Amino acid sequence: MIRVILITLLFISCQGNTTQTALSYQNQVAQLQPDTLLAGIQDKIYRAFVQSLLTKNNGSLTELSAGLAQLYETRHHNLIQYWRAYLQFYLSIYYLNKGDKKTAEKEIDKGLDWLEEMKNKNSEDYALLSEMLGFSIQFKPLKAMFLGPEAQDYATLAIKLDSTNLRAYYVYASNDFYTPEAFGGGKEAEKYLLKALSLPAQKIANEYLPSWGREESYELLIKLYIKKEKWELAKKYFKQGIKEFPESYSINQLASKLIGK
Amino acid sequence: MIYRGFFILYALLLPVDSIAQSVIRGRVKDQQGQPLFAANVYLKSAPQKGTTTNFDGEFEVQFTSDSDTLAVSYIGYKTQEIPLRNANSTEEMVVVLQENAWAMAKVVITAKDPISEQFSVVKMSMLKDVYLNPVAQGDPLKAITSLPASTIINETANPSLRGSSADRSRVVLNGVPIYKPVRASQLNNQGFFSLFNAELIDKQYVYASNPPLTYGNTSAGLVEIQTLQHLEANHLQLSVGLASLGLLVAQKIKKDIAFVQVYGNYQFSDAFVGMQAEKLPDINKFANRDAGINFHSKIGQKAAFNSYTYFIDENFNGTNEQFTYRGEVATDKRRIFTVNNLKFFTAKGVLSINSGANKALQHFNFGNIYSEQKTRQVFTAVDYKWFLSASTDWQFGITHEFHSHTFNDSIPAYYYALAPNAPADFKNTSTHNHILEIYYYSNWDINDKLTFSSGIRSNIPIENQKHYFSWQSGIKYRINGHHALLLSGGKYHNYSIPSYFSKKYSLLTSHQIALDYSYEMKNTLLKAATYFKKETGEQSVDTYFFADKLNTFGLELFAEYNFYEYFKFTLANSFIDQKMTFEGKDYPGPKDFDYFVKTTLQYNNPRIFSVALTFTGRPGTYYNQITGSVYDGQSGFYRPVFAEKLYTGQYSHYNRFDLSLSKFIRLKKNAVIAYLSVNNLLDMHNQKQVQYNADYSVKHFDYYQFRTIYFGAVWRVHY
Repeated sequence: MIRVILITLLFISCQGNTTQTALSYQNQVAQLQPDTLLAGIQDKIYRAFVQSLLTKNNGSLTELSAGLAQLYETRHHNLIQYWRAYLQFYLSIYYLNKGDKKTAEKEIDKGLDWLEEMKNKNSEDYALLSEMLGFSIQFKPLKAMFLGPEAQDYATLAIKLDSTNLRAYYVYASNDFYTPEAFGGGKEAEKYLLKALSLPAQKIANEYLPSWGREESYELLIKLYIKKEKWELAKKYFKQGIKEFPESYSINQLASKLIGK
Repeated sequence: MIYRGFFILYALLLPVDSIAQSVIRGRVKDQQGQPLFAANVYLKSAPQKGTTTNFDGEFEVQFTSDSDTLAVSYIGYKTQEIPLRNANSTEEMVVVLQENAWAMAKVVITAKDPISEQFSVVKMSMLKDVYLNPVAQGDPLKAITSLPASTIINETANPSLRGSSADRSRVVLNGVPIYKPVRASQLNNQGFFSLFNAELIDKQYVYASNPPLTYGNTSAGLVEIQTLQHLEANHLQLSVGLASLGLLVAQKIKKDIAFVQVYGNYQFSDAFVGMQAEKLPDINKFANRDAGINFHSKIGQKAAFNSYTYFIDENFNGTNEQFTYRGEVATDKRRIFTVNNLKFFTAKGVLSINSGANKALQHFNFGNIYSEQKTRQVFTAVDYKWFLSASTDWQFGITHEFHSHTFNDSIPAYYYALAPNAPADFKNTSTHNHILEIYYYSNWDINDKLTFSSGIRSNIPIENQKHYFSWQSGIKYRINGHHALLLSGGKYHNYSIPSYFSKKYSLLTSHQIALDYSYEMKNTLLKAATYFKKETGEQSVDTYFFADKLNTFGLELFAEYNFYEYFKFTLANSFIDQKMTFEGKDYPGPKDFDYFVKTTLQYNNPRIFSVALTFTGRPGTYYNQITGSVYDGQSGFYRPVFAEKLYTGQYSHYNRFDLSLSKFIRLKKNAVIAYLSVNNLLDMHNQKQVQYNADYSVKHFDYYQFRTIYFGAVWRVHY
């Protein structure tokens, strides 16, 4: 839950950058060629999400979702399904922010279904599946006991499939961080976050492929050091994170916890 | 003049321009010839200034120096580098990317799942389907009893699927069959709990009918169990119950390379029986000890090894009644089995070598019956699972099973005269059997919605065995993410396991066809199935009768509904029309039921407590009525006279409610689960077997378990 609020806050904080995205996505989508719709898709989803939060209307996200669905109808490509699932993740956060937990759960489950049914999943697919499954646990406290290990299994697969995938290490660490110690959690997060930060977000810049996870890794690592009261290390990675992501709300908001330490 | 000037200028600039910037166009495909979208295409001298392929896999790259190298990469594929000096800029370049070393990881991952996974009716995870299932009581095989396909009628854990006898179905652990997979087993192979420790198990697949022909010696269904592939965390677990003490240690030996799990249990009757002796009239005393060790290790990147060894020593003393004799029964059994697996991974498949060995010594004493059974089984299999393409998998292999059974028995001279002083004959019987078989199984994803599977299996006759040939095919249709239809059919063979009552390996055959439907939504799961089976071969109906033919038609319905966050309701019902043929005449089969209901209402809130109420109900089974008796001067006992028509008697309806409660307490690195279960809550008197007085003039009944209470706690700590 804490994670969700922070993610939400992170995006609310970015409102200054988003006024330019108030254009109708439907119009944009109609004009775009299929591969241009996917160009920079991660940012497009992010901007549509922020737009939806600001206007308190999910139109931007659903229009983009419709565009991707239409594209998937004609091109059955795993990458399109990946971004459709990724968008569902943000739709779920949007509804959670609105206090509509039921719809939030429905939207994340839809994305999870798509990813689970996907054949020949690659490391990125497993990493997203793990992240979304970990996120969905808050809606299913009853199933937490088995969804947690399942999410961790997917993260392990993501690492096995590509040992240089930053996001795979991040989601592994994230799942470990949020797993109670009584269930064996909290032991490996630090190691995996440090490994994540030693890797580039993308080996070769590619606007069609995911690049998330680095900023999130900084945020989680700082939180972990704060929790463990390792103040020097917390400050070190705070400085490093801020240098790399000066606009990051999620990293900046941790400053208050480091003052005077 | 002006034109000439332009021409000269053009002629001068052209070669310069050509050298300065050339364009190379191409297309990127995978090994199946499919275009790869969003692949990176870049020059090694400037990796961040490349381009990406479009949906048709096309790209266009400008370069200035032909000494540069073009690189093409994509997630999951090996990066390909092409020196530009070898490239022909006038032709379209075709780059075929090969799945890289990650493909090996993919093989390792995919190899975990059986090739026939899509054709299993239920895939169970230990946490969800065993630990959180009140019917299971923490036992992997007991978890199956809540399925509509489970037709166990004698409160045992030995699986009986879709009306077939347990002798026709198999339980397979890591590819190796485990015969009689239950503890506290007696002459009739009953046993209340399985031999498996849920802590060691990763997944369990249930094939209610049409068992995949990757396994042999089954003509009904199959339960496939897989042990853990990796250990989440080191832990120690101590369990204390009214009748048991147990300890388990799970330890990683080298991070992500190897781990070991060691456990031991001691079961004792003093407190359990002492507290409720009137509810357990047939149990005087039991004492069981068991221990197991499971070791798993990766061997480099291309191989993995798993070894599981289990030992159990059981002792039971109680009271039994057969015909007119009621007296003490004593059994003891010592058993050890081992299951060993070696897997080699290649980029295109996995080679498995599975071996198993089982040795058991059992004694049984009741009246004038004395039985000593020595059992030995050795199993060896070599399989290769070949990932032929993204949509097609093949598996083929060869298996050999050796069975040896030795009986030293005293057999009543008169089947109805069982008192210790009644005459008996001693007989020693040794028998053995080889089952050598080869098989082939394939799985083909025709498209996103349709999957087709087929398999064939043939024995290689040894020692005058009859040749047989098993076959199967199935098709699975996924209508969308929520609906699935599975149609499967085939012909199957297995050998019966010799017992005190029938000391031979009878070849059993079945023809089966089944249609399974499932619908899964967020809070709702619906399943329906219909099937028909034709079974031939000598199989036991009850202790003394064997049927030659059994025809079974079944309908199954299952619904699961989750509501108000913490509540779950499940309802399973089966209609089974079963006819057996005995000496040319038809009778109602041992599992001929108009209904077989299993329903559970569960409240599960880890923060407060969990409680589940389960109901099981079905009509009574049929039995042979005794209409009179004749005094037999030779034996000194009355000989029963059976009704002319067999199986006309019917036991009363079987109804049982079970209640289970648990409380989960989480501490920092510890977790404690306290539990209480009340079996047969309403103390229903469910008739189990008809009994008679000495001259068969008065009958009475033996009953299934009365109301019993069991409680305990499990303490687990991660270290």
